[in-house]
Order: sequence, then C-alpha cells, then structure tokens
Amino acid sequence: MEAKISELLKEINEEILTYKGDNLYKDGLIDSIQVIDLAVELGEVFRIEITPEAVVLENFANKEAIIHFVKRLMEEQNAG
Amino acid sequence: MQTNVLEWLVESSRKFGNKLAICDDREEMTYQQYHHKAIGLARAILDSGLDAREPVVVYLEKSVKVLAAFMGIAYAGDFYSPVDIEMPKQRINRILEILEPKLVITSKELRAEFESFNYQGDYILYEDVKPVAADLDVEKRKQQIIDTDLLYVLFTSGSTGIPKGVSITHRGVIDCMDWFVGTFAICSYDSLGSQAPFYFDASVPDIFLNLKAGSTLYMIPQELFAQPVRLLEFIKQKQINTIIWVPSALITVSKLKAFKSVDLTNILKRVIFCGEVMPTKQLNTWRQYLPDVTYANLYGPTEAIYACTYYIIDRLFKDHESLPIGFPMKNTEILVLDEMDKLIKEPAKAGELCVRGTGIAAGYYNNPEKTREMFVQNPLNHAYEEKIYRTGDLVAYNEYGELLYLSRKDFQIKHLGHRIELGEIETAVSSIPGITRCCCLYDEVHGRITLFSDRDISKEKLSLQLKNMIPDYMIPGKIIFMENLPLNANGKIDRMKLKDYL
Repeated sequence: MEAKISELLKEINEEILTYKGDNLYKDGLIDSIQVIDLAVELGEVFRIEITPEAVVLENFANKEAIIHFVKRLMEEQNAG
Repeated sequence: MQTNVLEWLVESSRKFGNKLAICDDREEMTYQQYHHKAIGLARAILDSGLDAREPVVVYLEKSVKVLAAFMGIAYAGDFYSPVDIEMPKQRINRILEILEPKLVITSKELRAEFESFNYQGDYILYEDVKPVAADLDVEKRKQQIIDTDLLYVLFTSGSTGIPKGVSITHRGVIDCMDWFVGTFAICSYDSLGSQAPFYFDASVPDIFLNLKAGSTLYMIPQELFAQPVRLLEFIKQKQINTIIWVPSALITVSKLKAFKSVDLTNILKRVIFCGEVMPTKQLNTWRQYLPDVTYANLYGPTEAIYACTYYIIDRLFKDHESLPIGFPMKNTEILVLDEMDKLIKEPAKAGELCVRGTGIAAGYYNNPEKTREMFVQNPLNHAYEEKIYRTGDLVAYNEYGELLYLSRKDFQIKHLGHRIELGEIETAVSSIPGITRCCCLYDEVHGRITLFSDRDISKEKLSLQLKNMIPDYMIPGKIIFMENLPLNANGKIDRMKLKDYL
C-alpha cells in the first residue's frame, strides 16, 4: 500500500516523497485541485469511502499523514 | 458626475461608516477605517514627493492592507500595480523594468525581500502610516483625477515570456461596476467571499462591487480551497451570499459533493464565474444541490477589465454542452470578425471576438508595439479613430443569438481538411464521468489530435463515449494519461509545457 501511495504522490510532485514539513499545501507542493483529485484517487485505488469531511489538510500534511489516513480508513471500513 | 472610483469609498463611508467593509483572518475594517487609512496612505505618498499619475507598487500578502493601499494610491492621483509576493525574482525584475516605479508600499517584514530586486526608489511601510480623517492636499489630488487616468496596471504573462502591463482607467472600472451592481442587484445587505488574489483581474469585482454597494468583503483563507467542507462552513458562518470565483475553485467543492455535508440553501444567492471555461458537468452538480442560486458565466480578458460578456444560466444544459458566454454587457459592443475582418452576424460561423467600448484597457504599459498589435482601429469604421481590442479568442453565435466560446485563435487547427476548435473536443471529453481536466493539442508531426486527460481511459472507450457528441474526425488519435495536468501561474492548464510531451 505504501508503495502505491508513493507512486501516486510521485506523479503529483516528486518532492513530496522527501518532504519533511507538515503542510504540503501551504508549502506549495500540492494545489487545491490536486488535493481533491488525490482524495478521489485514493478512494478508488484502495476501495475506501473518503467523505468530503475527511478532506482536510491534517490528513494530507505529508506522506506519512496520508499513509496513516488511508490505513485508518481501511481498518475502520473493513471492520464495519 | 462620477470621475473616479473613490467616490464610492467616500459615499459608502458616509452612509455605512461603522459597517464592516473588508475582513481577512487577522484584521477587519469598517468603511470609515478603510476610508481614513486610504487618506493616511495618500498623505504619506504626497509626503514622499511623488507626483500624480505615477505607478506605485504594492508588495504585500493578500489582506485588508492591500485594499487600503490601493485606495490610498488612487487617492493620491496615482495608480497601483500589485506584485505577487510568491512571484519568481526574475519576473518581478522584469515588471519593475517596465513600470519604473519610484515608490513601493510594503511591510517591515517584506521590505528586505524587495530590496533584493532591481529597485532604487522610495518605500512606504504600511505599519508606519496613521489613518487620517481628512486632508486638504489629498482631497485636491482626488479632485484632479479625470476618468481617463489610470487606476491600476495588472501584469499578465505574454507568450514571449515578457509580462504585459494591462493599463486600466477609472472610467473602465466605473462602467463595469455600474453594470455589475445593476445586473445582479448587489446592495449593502450582501456579503462577498473573495477567492482570487489581488494581482489577478478576477478580484476586480470583489474590490469594487463591495466599495460601490457598501457590502462586506470576506477574504477566504486560501487553505480552505483544499478543504471543501471547511470552505462551505466558512461561507455559512460568515453568511456570504455572493461568490465570484474562478471555475477551478468551484470544482473543488462540486467534485466531492461537499454540499451533502453543509447545506447552503437560503444562504448562497449568487455564484459568478469567469477566467476559464466552467465544465458544465461541475456546474450541474452545483445546480443539483443549490437550485435556487443565480449562476452566471462571465467572459472577458484582463484587457476588458474583468468581463465584457455575460450569461445568466436560465435553462438546463447537458453535461457535454458548453455554456454560452452570452451577451455583451452594457455600454460594450462585441464584434465577431472573420478572417477578412468582416462582421459575422449569422449563427455557427466562427470568428474572432473583438471588444468595442470604454471598458477596454488604455493599452500595455510602456509597450507601444504590443499595444498597436492588439488594440487596433475598428475595421468597420473608416470615418474616425476608434480602437477595438482583439482578444484572439474564437467565438460563434448559437441559434439563440448567444455567443459561444470556441477556443483560442491559436487553438484552431485543420485536420483531415476540417477546421476544428480544440476547445470543442475538450468540452465533450470533460463531460465523460471521471474526467475533470483535459486538454487537446494538435500533433503536427504525426498529424493527429492528442488528448491529455486526468483519467486513464482507453481509446476504444473514449471513442464510444464521444461518438454522440462530436464528429469522428474530431476524436483524438492519441491519449496521454496525466493525473495532474501542469498549470501556469494563473491556474490554467499550461499548454506550452504539454507540448513537450507530444
């Protein structure tokens, strides 16, 4: 899963993979449309439901946050 | 008789002095504070020794301060030119070369950065300026403004890489806003939510509609545009009822159907968009959830202030149909000219959209060659000098006499003997489920139309979907999947960059 997420992030901007900060959007590595598109893409690839409420910058802060976010949703939704 | 835009500020300050005029996430100003700060800034400009009709650069991040600075500069009889603080140094230096400003308004924090550019003039630091209730010298400068004086210069990127400074007069903005306030009945009870940066012409109605109507302008924090539910919550909390945004900002909301989480029924009244083509499928999502809102599609280059045509959405459109850009706004004429500069009146015949009226720019600052190229004598008028602006956009009338945008003139191609507008293919493609952004280019070497799409779709599937929408010869011969299409500085798809992938 992590490899797939890295692949998706690399397509947006390679710098995201090595980014050490905690706000990809504010630091200009990803724009608003890309955040939305990434959310749609993650939902399709991992077959999880990403509600509009979940699309907040905390969940897209950096690569680790995105992986954590997807993992959490997969666990919750598989359990349910 | 109105000769400058400041009369709106004076009037709104007199009528609604204690009312909230402009707010950002750190600061807010009433109309009176806005007015007094502007006079204070104008006083500081006079004290710097600057004459009237000079450019003043504003180098500040988006905030209420920028707007106070704009009005202060106008009050001093000068004109403003905002520079994006994120802009690359090389481009800023080019702008400074063209503008040759003697004065910049910035902050203590940003001054050091500005000192690294090629600039030797004076500085006014915003924080140092005290508001002033009235000042006779400043008032005199304001009285001397005539409506053909410049109000601002906005820089747009030229295809050659040299920025062009579009020079706009007080008269142009007065005209455009008179039309705007009248058409959409905007009044002091309304609240606007500003999305566009102030160095971009899409913000012009936010600034001046607000001033004229005496409404309240909320600057929406930029990070909300990546968080659709929080964005709608902000609108709800501030009771914003009018938004004038670029389509991509509207798409971030409709794509995830964030309306399901926050209901804006009875809050949002007007959704106005301009700046690029609004995908009909996305608009239809907005209409599905918020059917009682007035939606309007506006069209216009920076050279025509903000808009020169408009279409208030009044009927249903299928996802693959493009939205008309409609009719000329008041006191403006649109001429659709064919290749021989003959006027086109009949439907379905493509021609270049040219604008006639007081709403066109006074030209490109310090660039007479480029000005002569785009602002030309009206070819239909042989009797006296009259300039029109050639947009380079191809349009046609539809069966209802509405204007339809087809594409840039440079995007009209000839393929298999057919004249094709690439924009028409893009409209059709973007109606396919799953595709939000796409772009078509003509690959001269292979003689085929190449589609760049943000969804991985097979050629067979694409052909099947497009079959009922466009003729066979318009169906792209090659598809390149690209999850994120490159965007230029204005947030539009960067066609120059895409050419490298052909």
